[in-house]
Parts: sequence; C-alpha cells; structure tokens
Amino acid sequence: MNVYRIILTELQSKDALRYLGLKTGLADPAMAALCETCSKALLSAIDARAVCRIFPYRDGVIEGCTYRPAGSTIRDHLTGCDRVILLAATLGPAVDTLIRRTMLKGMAEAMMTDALASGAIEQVLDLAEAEIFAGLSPTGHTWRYSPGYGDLPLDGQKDLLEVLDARKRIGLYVSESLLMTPTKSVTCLIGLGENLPESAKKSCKSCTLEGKCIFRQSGTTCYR
Amino acid sequence: MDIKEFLKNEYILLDGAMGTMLQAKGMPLGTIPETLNIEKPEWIIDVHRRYIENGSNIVYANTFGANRLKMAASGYTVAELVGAAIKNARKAAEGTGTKVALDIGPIGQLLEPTGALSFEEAYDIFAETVEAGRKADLIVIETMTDLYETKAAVLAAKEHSDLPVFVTMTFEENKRTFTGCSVSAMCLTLEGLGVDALGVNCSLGPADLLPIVEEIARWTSLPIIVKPNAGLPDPETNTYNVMPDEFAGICKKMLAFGAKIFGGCCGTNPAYIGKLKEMLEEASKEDLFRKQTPDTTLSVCTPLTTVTVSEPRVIGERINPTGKKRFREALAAGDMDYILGQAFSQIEAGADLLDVNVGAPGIDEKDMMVRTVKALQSVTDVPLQIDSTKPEVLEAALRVYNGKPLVNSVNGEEASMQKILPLIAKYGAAVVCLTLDENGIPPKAEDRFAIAEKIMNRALSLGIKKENILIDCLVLTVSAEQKAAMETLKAVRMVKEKLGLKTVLGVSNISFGLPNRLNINTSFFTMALYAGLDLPIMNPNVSAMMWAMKSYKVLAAIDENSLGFISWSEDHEPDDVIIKKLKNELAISPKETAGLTPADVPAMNIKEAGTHPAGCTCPECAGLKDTKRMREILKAMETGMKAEGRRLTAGYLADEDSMDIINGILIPALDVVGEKFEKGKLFLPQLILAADVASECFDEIKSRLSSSGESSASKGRIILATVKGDIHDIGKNIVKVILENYGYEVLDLGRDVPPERIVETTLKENIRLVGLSALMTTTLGSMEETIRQLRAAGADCKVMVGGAVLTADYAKKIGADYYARDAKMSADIAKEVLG
Repeated sequence: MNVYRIILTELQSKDALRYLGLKTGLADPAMAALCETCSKALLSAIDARAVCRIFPYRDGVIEGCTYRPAGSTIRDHLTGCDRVILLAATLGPAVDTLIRRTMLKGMAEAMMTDALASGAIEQVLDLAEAEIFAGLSPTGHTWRYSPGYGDLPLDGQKDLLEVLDARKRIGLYVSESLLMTPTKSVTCLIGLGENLPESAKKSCKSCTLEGKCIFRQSGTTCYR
Repeated sequence: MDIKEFLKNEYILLDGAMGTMLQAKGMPLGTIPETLNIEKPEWIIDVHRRYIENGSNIVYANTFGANRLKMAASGYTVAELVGAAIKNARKAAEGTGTKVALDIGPIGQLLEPTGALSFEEAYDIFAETVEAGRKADLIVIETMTDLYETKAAVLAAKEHSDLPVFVTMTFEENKRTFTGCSVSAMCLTLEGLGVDALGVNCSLGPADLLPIVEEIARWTSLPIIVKPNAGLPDPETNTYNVMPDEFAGICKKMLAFGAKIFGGCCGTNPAYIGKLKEMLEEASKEDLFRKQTPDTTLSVCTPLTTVTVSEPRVIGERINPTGKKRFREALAAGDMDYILGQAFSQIEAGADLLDVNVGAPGIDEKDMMVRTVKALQSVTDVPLQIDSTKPEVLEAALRVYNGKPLVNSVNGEEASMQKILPLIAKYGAAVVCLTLDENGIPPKAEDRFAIAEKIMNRALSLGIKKENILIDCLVLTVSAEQKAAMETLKAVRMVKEKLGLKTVLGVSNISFGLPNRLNINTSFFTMALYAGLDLPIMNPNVSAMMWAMKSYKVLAAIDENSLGFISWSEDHEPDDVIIKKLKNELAISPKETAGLTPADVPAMNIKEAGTHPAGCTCPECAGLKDTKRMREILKAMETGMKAEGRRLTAGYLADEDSMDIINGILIPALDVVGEKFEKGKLFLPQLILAADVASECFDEIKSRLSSSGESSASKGRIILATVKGDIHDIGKNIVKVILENYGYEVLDLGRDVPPERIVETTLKENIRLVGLSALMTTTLGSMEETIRQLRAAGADCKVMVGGAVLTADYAKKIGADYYARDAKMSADIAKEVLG
C-alpha cells in the first residue's frame, strides 16, 4: 500500500471548461476573470492525497483482495492484464467548504469552482499514476476505470475503500447512499500487463451513454 | 485504585496494537475483529495478557469499531460485542492491577457539513457504545480526525457514564488532522469539555510525533498521551520500520514536554511495551518527568482557526436583529443566505470573531440559533460569540458548536449566575460577564468592579478557568449621562489591573442620541483601547472604527514596525478619499456630504443626462430612460459586475418604483441573456453569471422595500429540494437563483431531504410546484419515493425534476410532470404552471 501527498502548483482549466459546456473557452473576459479568481482560491484549498494497492490479477479474479468487481465491462477492460492497481484519491474537505462558501457569493463562481475541482482531481490522479508507474518496471496499462462505469456496480465502493483503508489513510469516506465524501474524490482500477489490446485506450465504445452523450452531441468528449 | 488516582502517578503505560497481533494468530482477511471477542475469546485474552506481562497499566478492550454502523454486518449487537470484549480484558487482567478501557474509534462516516452524518446521530451512536461499556474502568476515544465527531463522543461519554475519559486524535506531519483540525483547537475544546487526559495516536512514528507533542504541551495542562505507530509501513511488505529500542528511545525525549502516558499503535507488539516500561522505569530513577506549562492567554477557536486574545480583537456585531428590519425579515423567512452574507462582509472587513444573536419576536430562537451556528460552521472558520438571554438557547448552541466559543452573557443577578455559569463550565466556553445585577447598572465604577469580582469568584468556584472569564463594564449613552463614559473606562482599568481579566465593550452605544455619532464612537473607542479594552463588539464595516483600531495598535507598539497598518493602508482607502470620490462622482453639495460615511452611498441621487429637463416624465423619456437603463444593466450582467448592478439599481430606485424597474429593466435584460443562451450564443456559466448580477439587483430592491415597509409581490411559490441521500446542491441552487430572478418565491428545503418533509411542507404551504433534484443514480429511488408520497397525500401540485442522471424517459417513469433539462427550463415550467 502506498500513500501519496500530491502537490498541485497550477490548475489546468480545459477539463473544467468542457464540464461547464463553455464552448468559447476563456474568450469571454468575464469568464477568464472568473476562472482566474476561482483557480487561485481553489489551489489554496486543495490538500490532495492518494492511496493505492497493487494485486495480482488472474482469470478475472483480483487475488488476495476482498473487493470483487462485478459485471462484464470490467473484465473486458482488464483483458490481458496480470496485475490491477486499486487507486483512490481526494482533494480534501477544504474544497467542499470552499464550494459551499462560493455558493453564497454567486452561483457562477460556485459552478466554476466546482468544475475546476472536478478537473483538479483528474490532474491529481494523473500525477498519482505517474508516481506509481515510476516505482514499477515499465509495463503497459489501461485507462482508469471507476465503479459506476459500464456495468461495474457503484455499491462496490464500500469494499474498494475498505481494501485501501481509505478512511484512515487519506480521510476518504463513503455514505450509505454511496456518495463519497469529501465529494471531489475518485476511486478507480487500472490494469497492468504486456501487449494490451486496443480497448486499453480510452474511447467511447464501452460507455453506456453512447448515442445519448451531450458531449458527443456538441462535438467533443468527456475525456481529453 | 481508580483512574483519577492513577493519573497522579508519574506515568501510565498503555498497550500496543491488537490488529497486527490477531493477524499473526491467523485472523482471516475481511474478518470484523470485534467478532473475535465472541468467536475466539482465547486469542483476545492472550493478546491482552502478553501486554500486561510486559507492563501495561491499561489495556484497550477489543471494541475499536464497536458501533452500530460498523457492526451492522457482524451478526451481533453492539452490547454483545462490547460486553464480551470487556469480559475478556477483565479475565486477562485478573490478579493484576491493570485497568480495562472501553476503546472507542471513529464511527466510519464523515460528519456534517461535508458528510452525511448529523452531529446528533453521531452522539446517539456513541451513546449506545458507552452504555454497553459501563463495566470498563475508563473510556478512551482514539484515532479521531474530526473534532466535531470527537466532541459528540466526549459528550456521549460524559453524559452516559461517570467513567474518566481519555482522548487522542490523529495528526499528520503538518500538525493538522485530515479535516484540518489544529493541535490548539483539540486542546482548547477537549480540555474545556472536561476530559481527563489527551494526546495523539497513530498515523506517524515517534520521531514524527515529537513536534506534535511539543505543540500539545503549549496548549494544555492535562496529562499528555502519546501512542505512536512503529514508524511507517513498507509499501510492499507492510512491516514497520522502527524497532522497540528506537521507539522507546524517542519516546523518552517526549518526557521533557510533559508526556506521561505512553503506548503503541499500528505495527507495535508486546516487545515495544516492554521497552517502554524499561524506559519509563529509568526515567523515574533519573527524575525526567516534567509537568508542562502551557500558555494561559484567552483563546477561542474552531477546528481550523484559533484566535488568541494577546492583543485587541474585533467582534463583529452585525448578526443581530435589534434595530434591523431587513435582518428580522430574513429571520422570519429562514433566509440563511442573508445571515451568512452578513457574516462574510464582516469577515472581509476584518472581524476576528462574530457575534451571533437570532432572538426576535415570533422566532423559535433555539431552533434558529442551532441552524445558524451549523450554517456558519459550514462556510467559515471564524470563532463565534453565542449571544442570547435564554439559557436553553445558549445550551443548544454550546452543544452543536464545533470548537471553543465565547458566550454573551452572564450577569451579576443570582438567577443568571445559577443558570448560565454551569453551562459555561460544562461546555468549556469563555464567558462575558455584564456588570449589572438585580439593582440594574451601578453608576459608579467601584460598584461595577464589585459585581465583576463577585461573578468571577462564583465562576472560579465552579471550575471555570480564570482566562475564560471576561468582563463587560457596560457602555451607557453619554448624551443621557455625561460622566458615564469616564466611569466605564475607570471600571475597565480597575478590572484589568486588579482582576487581570479580559474586557469587552459594545462601543457604539456611547453616542446614541447625538449627531455625528461616528466621531464620538471613534474617540471613545481609542480611549477604551488605552484603558484596556480587549474585545470591542462593533461593526467592522465602518472603516473609521477599523482605522482607529489599526492606529491604536501602532501607537501601543503592538503592531511591530507598523506592518499591519501599512498593509491595511494598501487595501483600504481612508474615509476622506472615499468621500472625495463620492463628491466627484455624484456632484453633490458639501453640505450633503457632512457626516457621510461610505455606507450612505447607495442612497444618493444620480443625475440623468438627456435633452429634456432632468426629471421629465414624458413617455419618450420614460421609454428612453428604461432602454438606456436596460442596456446598462445588461452590460453589468454580461460582465459579471455584481456591485455595479447593485449600484445602478439603487440609483434607479430614486426615481422609479420597484415593479417598473423589475418589469421594465431587469426582466427584459434577463430575457436578452436568456435568448442568447437558447440560441447557443452564450452558455450556462454566462447565464448564471448574469443571474448572479440580477440577484444583487433584486436584493437591492428588496432591501429598499423592507426599509420603506412595502413587500414585494411574488408570482408564486415553489419548493426546491435535493432528495434524501444526496447532498449535491449546486444544480438546485442555480435553479433557485433563476426562479427568484423571474419573480418566484423559492422555499429551499436544502439537501438530503426526507420525502415526509417535502410532503408536509407542500401541504402546509399549499405549494403548487415542487422541484426535485438528484445527482446520483443511487438517489433516484428517493426521488421516486418522494413523488409517490406526494401523490398519495393528495398534494395538489406539479412536480418537476432535474439533475445530471435524469432523462426525460426516467422522469416520466417515476411519475414527474416535467423534466427540466437545464436551469432556464425550470423558469419556463414555472411560467406554465404558476403564470
């Protein structure tokens, strides 16, 4: 088990702008100013931590692990993998406090902060992945697959977080209604292996919203 | 020998880890450890015995997770597991003097405001465990990271048993817990609640805990507990890297800071305890034990922020309905956003603490106070002064306050001291004592001093610490009794010199009845600071008063090198510059600016340029004027200039009535923005930015209407709620802003709202449109249930639903009348349903 403290020095806003549906990006000076203000406040509130464990993976079973991912899409995702990384990360509770506070100042500011935070947790996961891979010998890997994607049930969150001892290691909780708190948090599985198939790269093919996706309808994707 | 006696010993030795020992015995992966109390008692007894053999004076019963949430899947009740655990520990301790502790760890859910578990529920869960553990010798609450949860546990422990209570929290290297709680906040709060010992456990090895123990020693006089991990676990093998010798050696260094209760946490075993025992015996011979001498300056706190009154601090007075019609209206309407807005403006103006008073006729003060304290705690870290005349209101607030607060007030009347001082003692607050009694406010300083002394002695006799007693020598108005000012200041000086207590004054009362009050207020304020005033209760938005404070700190050599003053000057213009700017902008006569403060600005007239004479009301001018104004407001909306929107609206109110402004200027501007949004020329964030500006404009109109006694008409009332189990509310709040802008009154029930409450409010208030929001697939069930209950209750209303996971199909399936694809659509639906 590895616990990481992730330091973000700068927030990239592209993800946030996509989440907000702001097609013109920061061309509007009011939006640019808002993004600037919110980014500053958000950066000071972020206290990002991540925890991961790596398990052997064989015949659809994560060995020595009490989390048993159900459904067929995760099996497809992990085709050809011999190990699985379970990873959880959070931006910390101060970000939730900040979002609550900004709602009092104005909903546009709250929306911008919320979207930037969603982008920031992805950044944190990227950095955590980089650190994890730095400690491993070179290997192929899949993209991050989270409970709730495809038919991987959301109710596996409890077991997944137990396995990672997330409460104690990074202060990450999950409620009875399967809501993670602090809210800007992500759990995911990453498969490791040699000669992984093309599906190991992220695409819309395996997504349950294919055909109904508002991102695709406006000519973009939810991922970079 | 009971624990209180135990604490007088030089040291107490706790035990080490249970989990790793059980794993070594072969506990299977995924076992709930507490079940072994019943299924493998011999293992548990053996582990305890081995620690006792190595010197433990106290063993922690195997009850760390024994609460009803964590034990739900265990197949046993909390009472069964706790009972068995204590029995096992007792068996192991037979024939020795070792004590048995009920071990209480975190519940496993995050508490409000970020989490879904309420403080009251947490208390209840802990109470059950405490009741089950009454046969133990003491209660230890450990591995806590959330001060609020810790408080719930301590109150449950103290109210459901008489056992001594030890508490340890878990800190990271930055001397904060995961939830941001500081060492000082832990010490101030828990010592105030009357725990018998406190300290730190888990997360770090002894070397990393050294600085934390040092910090603890600065803030508490209680015996200090240290229970480190055996270093850090190796990521691959999970073995810990600090050996027993080194462990004990580093713990020895902590004795100098006053630590005297030691144990081991994760990764430790009986060998560590054995080495600690050796170290402690040696230390006894070498006389290495020390008692720490913490700082005793008055401090109040929230988990994140501790305010030490080592120099004058500002208590913001604005959260108080007295003399504020708009505030009273907000209270009556339950408009928490307004109250929070008042908090923020004071914090931004430099308030160090905030007074909170929500007592007004027709308000359930206790309920309102609890809601207000919780709401404030959810968005700000500034410590609060809980202000009420009613003991039951004070008590309710003291229970839910997260940290150590200030309480205003107690006075010299026997009834007041009897009712209020015990609450202060129980909850560990600091208290402001008013120098009045059954005979009223004594005119002479000596008599006020006598009352102060009387209250102080009574408080001390109840165990309230001296630094937590503050005196308010009371400010009378100088226009009624001119000598009153000097008497008050004389009393302040006497209290400072002879009693050594901190002083409080409500400084603005002095000038009531006189013109040009600000001048009297600032002079009196400076005199009071010089006489020894520590905590003025004032309006920090009045910049002249803040300047007086900043200036005093320079002159009294408190603000070293005047750095604070200089930096304040960089961000704040002095009043004369502000007024000059106003004069230029507004072209008004000098006479009109005399006695002006920047707060008066919005009420000034703004001259209208045009070809007709000023003030012309012909249709052309009316139409032109509105078009021009609409364009101004539109510009403010599109550039997100909230303050500008407010200023413009204030100006319009000088010569147009509110309905004309709303219908002729604001709504048309919103419609322009709305249309651009629908045509895809601008997007949601820009729509919302415009709506935020519109909100400011509407709020300005509302303020004006309330001060002139009118009320604004509404197009209808709509309930909005995020359903049970879901705490996301950004979407709902966006819809709220849009609906309010379009003239609807929104009853915002908040988030995680049970269906019953939605139904009850709908029926009681005769609501015809209910909006439900959910973000998660798991909470769609709550949405469906809510709709079912509304129909079953025969509510005559339409239901609109929205949220990221919803689709038109699903909305139909669960029986909703409308699906709001986006925020703007909710306004269209409202128009269709309500008109």
